[in-house]
Amino acid sequence: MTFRKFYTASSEEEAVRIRSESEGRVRFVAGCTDLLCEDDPGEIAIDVRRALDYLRRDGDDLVIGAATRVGAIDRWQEGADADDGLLRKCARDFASHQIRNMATVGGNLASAVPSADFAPPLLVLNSRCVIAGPSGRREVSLHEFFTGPHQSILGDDLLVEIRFKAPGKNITTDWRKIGRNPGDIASINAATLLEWDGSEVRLARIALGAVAPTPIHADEAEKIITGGTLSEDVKNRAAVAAQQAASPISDQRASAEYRAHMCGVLTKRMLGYCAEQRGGQ
Amino acid sequence: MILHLKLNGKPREFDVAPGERLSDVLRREQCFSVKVGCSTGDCGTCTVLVGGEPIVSCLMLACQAEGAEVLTVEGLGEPGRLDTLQESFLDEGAVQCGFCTPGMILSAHALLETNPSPTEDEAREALSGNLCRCTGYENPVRAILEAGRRMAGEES
Repeated sequence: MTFRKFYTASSEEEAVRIRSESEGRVRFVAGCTDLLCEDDPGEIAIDVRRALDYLRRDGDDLVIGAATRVGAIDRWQEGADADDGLLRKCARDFASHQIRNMATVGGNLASAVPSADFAPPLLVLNSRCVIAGPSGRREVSLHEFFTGPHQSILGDDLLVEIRFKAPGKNITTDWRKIGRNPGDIASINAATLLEWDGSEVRLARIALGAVAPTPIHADEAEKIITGGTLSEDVKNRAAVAAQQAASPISDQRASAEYRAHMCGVLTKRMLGYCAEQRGGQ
Repeated sequence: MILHLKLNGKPREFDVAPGERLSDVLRREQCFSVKVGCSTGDCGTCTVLVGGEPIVSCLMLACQAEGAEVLTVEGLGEPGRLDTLQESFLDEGAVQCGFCTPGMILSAHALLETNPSPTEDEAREALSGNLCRCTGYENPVRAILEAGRRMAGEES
């Protein structure tokens, strides 16, 4: 089965309207890099690339249109200046250069696979999703977006854009991905954002992917780190807490034991890197 | 649906089905340089340039290329006169079975358009989305660097 109708929407409103007026299995499409690998993608395709491909600043917020391609994130200097290069690092590890010219950030989230590379960085940036449906727009924290493997709160609605408040200057961030090679689907991926007050961590966010039914926060590890210096003891205790936050499965990419173990290892590496970057300033 | 695009420099119109992939339409329209290896975006043999950027045409709906400029290897050089990259691929022995070659040449073409004198690392990075199962990356990398030098020589 393949699409029997194809529409190009030139605005968010038009995309939502076409969907609500269409009968049959409708899909919003953009990069198509996940979608065309499905056996039965749907009957009606609504292309949203023309409407949702933008990067901008809106007051304190940085805004990523859902159809922004991964390659554009790599070249987004304003974003890299604000997030200490976090999203750029993630973009550079993403699939192949051809796929980076096609795949979109919104598609990566909307597919809702537990290993979605952009989920951990956008989670530690405390992102919100702007979602549009027939009754208008709503804004939902990315923490509440994923509900299970390939499942999100989107339903028939359209992911319009991702927004996050530009972090202050006193942050360090890191991104890690384990796979057979950098372009592979992640066996484990992870991101960290630390906000510093002198030598103490004022705020800590650690997110882990492919180690639970949805991308997760390592809440306990974040609590252990917050409000003190990053001593060896703190890093070790945070690593153990991150490992305990995971509830992974075994599959062809990695065993559950390896995934949980690496949550600890990657957490410690990210904290070490962030402390080193902070020390060097 | 009628798809309008500029294929290898010429405005063209094709009648396409809504679910057809760009790779299938290009092959139907005699662009046999476009190879379909995996149909899942992993191998890069179906690479074409859309708006000057390499993409895998097996994962693009043909309808999504509406209004775009598309370049395949058929658009390089002329019959009987190869373009510089093709010539250097030949000279460096960069072709074994040849199935991955068109995709490699287009990835390399996009690189040299934006970066006429790449480093070896940059050449390798540009080829990283084009898999060769004859294990032939060394010679293509040399061919890209050589083509860059030849193009610089032609201009001076």
